[in-house]
Amino acid sequence: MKALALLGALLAACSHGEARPGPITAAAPTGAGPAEKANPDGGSPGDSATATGASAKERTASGGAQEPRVAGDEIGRGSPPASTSQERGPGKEKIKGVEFLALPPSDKPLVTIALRFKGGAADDPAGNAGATLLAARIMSEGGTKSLDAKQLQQALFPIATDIVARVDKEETTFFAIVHKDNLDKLVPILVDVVGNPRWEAREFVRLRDAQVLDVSRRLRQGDDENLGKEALGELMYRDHPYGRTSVGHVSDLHSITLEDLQQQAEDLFTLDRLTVGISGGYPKDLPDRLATALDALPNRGAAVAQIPPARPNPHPRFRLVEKPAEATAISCGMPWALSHKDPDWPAISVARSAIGEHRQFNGRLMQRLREQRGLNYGDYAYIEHFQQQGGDASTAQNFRARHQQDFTIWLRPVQNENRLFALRAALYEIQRSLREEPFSPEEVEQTKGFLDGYLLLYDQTDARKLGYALDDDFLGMGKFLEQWRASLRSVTADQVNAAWRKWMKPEELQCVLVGPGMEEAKKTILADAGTPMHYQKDAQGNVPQKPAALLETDRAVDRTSFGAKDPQDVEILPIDKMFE
Amino acid sequence: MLAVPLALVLVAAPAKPPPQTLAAAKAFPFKTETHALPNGLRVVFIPYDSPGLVAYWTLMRVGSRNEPEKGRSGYAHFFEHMMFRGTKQHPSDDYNATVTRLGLNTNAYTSLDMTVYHLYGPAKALPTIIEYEADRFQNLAYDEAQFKTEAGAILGEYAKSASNPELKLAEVLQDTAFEKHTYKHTTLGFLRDIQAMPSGFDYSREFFRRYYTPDDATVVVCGDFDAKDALERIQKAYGGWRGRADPAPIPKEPRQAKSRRATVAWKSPTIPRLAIYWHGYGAQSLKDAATQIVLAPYLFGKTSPLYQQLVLTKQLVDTMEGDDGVQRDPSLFGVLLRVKDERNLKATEHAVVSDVSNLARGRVDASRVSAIKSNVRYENIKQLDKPDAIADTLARYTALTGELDYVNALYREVDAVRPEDLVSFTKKALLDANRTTITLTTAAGNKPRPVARSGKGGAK
Repeated sequence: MKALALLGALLAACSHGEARPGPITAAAPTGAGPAEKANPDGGSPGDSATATGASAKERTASGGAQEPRVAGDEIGRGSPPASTSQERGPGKEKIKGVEFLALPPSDKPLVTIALRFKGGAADDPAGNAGATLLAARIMSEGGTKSLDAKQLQQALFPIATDIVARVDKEETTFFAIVHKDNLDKLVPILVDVVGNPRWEAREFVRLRDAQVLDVSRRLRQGDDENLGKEALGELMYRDHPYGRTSVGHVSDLHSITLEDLQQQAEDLFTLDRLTVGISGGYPKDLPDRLATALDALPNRGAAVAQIPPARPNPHPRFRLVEKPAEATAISCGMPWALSHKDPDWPAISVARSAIGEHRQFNGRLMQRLREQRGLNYGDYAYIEHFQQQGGDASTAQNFRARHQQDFTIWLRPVQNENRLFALRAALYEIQRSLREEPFSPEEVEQTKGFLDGYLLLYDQTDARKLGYALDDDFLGMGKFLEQWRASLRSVTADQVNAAWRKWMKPEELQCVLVGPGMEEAKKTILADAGTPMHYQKDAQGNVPQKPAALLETDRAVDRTSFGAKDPQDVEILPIDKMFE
Repeated sequence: MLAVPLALVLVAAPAKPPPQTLAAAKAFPFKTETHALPNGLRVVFIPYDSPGLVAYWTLMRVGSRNEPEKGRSGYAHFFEHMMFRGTKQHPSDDYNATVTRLGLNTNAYTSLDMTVYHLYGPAKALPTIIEYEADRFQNLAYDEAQFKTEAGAILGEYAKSASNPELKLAEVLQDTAFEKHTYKHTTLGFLRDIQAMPSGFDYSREFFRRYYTPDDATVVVCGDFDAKDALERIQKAYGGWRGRADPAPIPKEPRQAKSRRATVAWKSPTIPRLAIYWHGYGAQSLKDAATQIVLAPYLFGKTSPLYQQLVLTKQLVDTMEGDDGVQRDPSLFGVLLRVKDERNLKATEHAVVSDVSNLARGRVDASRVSAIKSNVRYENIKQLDKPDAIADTLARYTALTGELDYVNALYREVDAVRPEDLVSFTKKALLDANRTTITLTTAAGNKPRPVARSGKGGAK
């Protein structure tokens, strides 16, 4: 059910964090609960999810009490820590040559099926950025040998099911959530989407043009925050297989042919790269039926690409995207090697939450930038690559496992006059957390309390449980969430601070600003010139009274160095060149 | 002219019966327990199998529709922010530290008709949630300095959406379509009013007095909890809440007599937008509301002939989204289309209007009506999969009329919509005189280079 696509999507307003996305959840009273959308905020480019069917919503299935039982064999590229091997439950098996990861059936009415292929945007051939996403879109939306695009829509609509193709850097997942009443209708269609795509020229043109518009009009012109994030991704991963945004570059998309895409699918979407995940209230014979149907997929594709570690490359440290705007979007980050398997994960997770919990008030950045100064709408930090997933508040990330990770800071748009002050304030807080103001025992205990409860939300639905099980499988580990929750309890403030100091390298942070007047900003950054805080005046032009201590801190913030010394540390790019 | 699909049948043709499995079930299929406190506060308990988790939702039936005074748009939303600024007993630091320590996901949202405060997390937190929520709804205390700081966050919230042309489009659409009613402004409010917010401290207190009263509130608790214990705690904690809602009168929108049109020149290259909306009916008109819910996907959904023609076949349009527009008061029903080339705006508008006219002439496809009802039913059940979604659904439907059973009543009515109802609704509501059309295109001087050129290998 849809309501207020236009009004609802934009009028909703939250105290903190994302406005609840989509037409239904926000202003609109019809429809139901906090839905996840495949393309939150009108389509997050890196998220690169695409859907066909009843609506663009990507739903998670019913929550169940059972814990996921994870991977028996190892197929990930890393070796699992020895301590986890005995904790792995059964669940993964080969049926008729097809690899399955089936969670124990629940008593919920919904079933989730995920066809996860090892292969994603990192496999886009040189000069064809965006190819994997476009191929997956044409498969999921462009029709099958037996149903053209219109008939595919008409078949999925009455059962309120979407086939979502989510393309991340190293994996592509076609998944669907369906009421068990309609499972028999869905299965043959889903299998055909991956096994017998139609590859129709008309749909190629339509979806290619849609993807070009998504880059050239939405991302470049109408979505500055995601523009900043994608630009940061390309900056951090220069000369790395992650180095081009998954949605692609305009000139590459124009030169891609339908044959290129068919080749891409033949290379990536093959049985040897496939794991079928199942969860929810499914019947016992479902794996067998799927295995029989999927047997027609080609056995072998191209060799799975190895992902090399990203090397720090601190020049330029600042990429300034010149674009007219009332406010400036800011993202900072650096690649790092911290993974779910790392013994430091629990301690770093506490530091992250304490410095910048996503969409909550407790983080230092949120408290000090927004709550004390009213600089913007929100200020958050992440220790693994983060894509907003619609209205789901938590930072849980699924179907997006990666062998290379990154740390990022997201400052929501700041009025132009305060943008460099806000950036300095974030750098100042990071530096203080490493030196003068380490995380206190009280802060750590409080944050542990938060995570102890909050992490319960991460896998509350069968779909989320499946996502974690598949990600664990991809990374070659078992029960990540369980281990995280268990280890948190014994983490001490000393461990948090030691781990934070070990991993956090403020001098390696790279920053992207999207806004106007970047020549001037470049001069200011290079000269470390003053950028005093401007508090919002009232109608009479009065500046609010602020505590003397805060004003003193403001002056200290203003003395914080941007850390750019050389003109090559700061690069200005015109908006037209972005993702061209 | 749009092609007439073969499946087109006359109005009299019977629709296929919906699947039996879900048809008999209520749209909101959960057992609920409702209590009314003497002060007017309503409490709803929904036990749900979510071990260790509880959702605590507070619905206030106040939204941007309750902002009739000039210069005060955006205050319902602003006030939602202020509700996080604490009380004497539990200042905001304490509130934040407590919800943090307990691991709760805490937030709130505001829309045209409602403000909803929600906490979701470990069930063991419920006694503390009750204590803190009851306290802030009764004893909110903030000073002028805090108020002014929060005004900056509101401006920041506006700023984060300002690069999206659809915020501007929504502003112009509402401002054009409404003359008197407060749906004339968006929930965020007019930018000029947001900029003036630092001076509105006294008005914000008045807003609290008018609307934050127990008779305007509904608390919904869903998940794994002991209802008896929860009720006792709620009675104790909220029992002292006093006051009666004192809403400012909301002007009635006069009937629109003539088609309206406005254009927006966007400052940077963007996809041209076409928004075509008609005044619809409010939630109280149950049958009309149900018809709007079926009609929006019928005319504008992905299986509609219009979508298939404009998006899939002719490929003039990148995306189109229908709005059923069911709100507390009569709001806007219609469609937003992203048109690839502004030279096709007219042809696209003509196609929309022409399909609407066809429906008004009685050409209705009964099999599609049946498919839509099936979609609505399964979509609904897919949403109700965890305590927060369940609590949120009940809160948002309840906001429309104040009745807790409205969700079931509305869905029963949706199930009863007949193909001919779409025709009669179209004839009475989707009239030219009742229509507002907004186009948004890139301002002259900033026109983009053409984008959708054919690459090699594409179909010509």
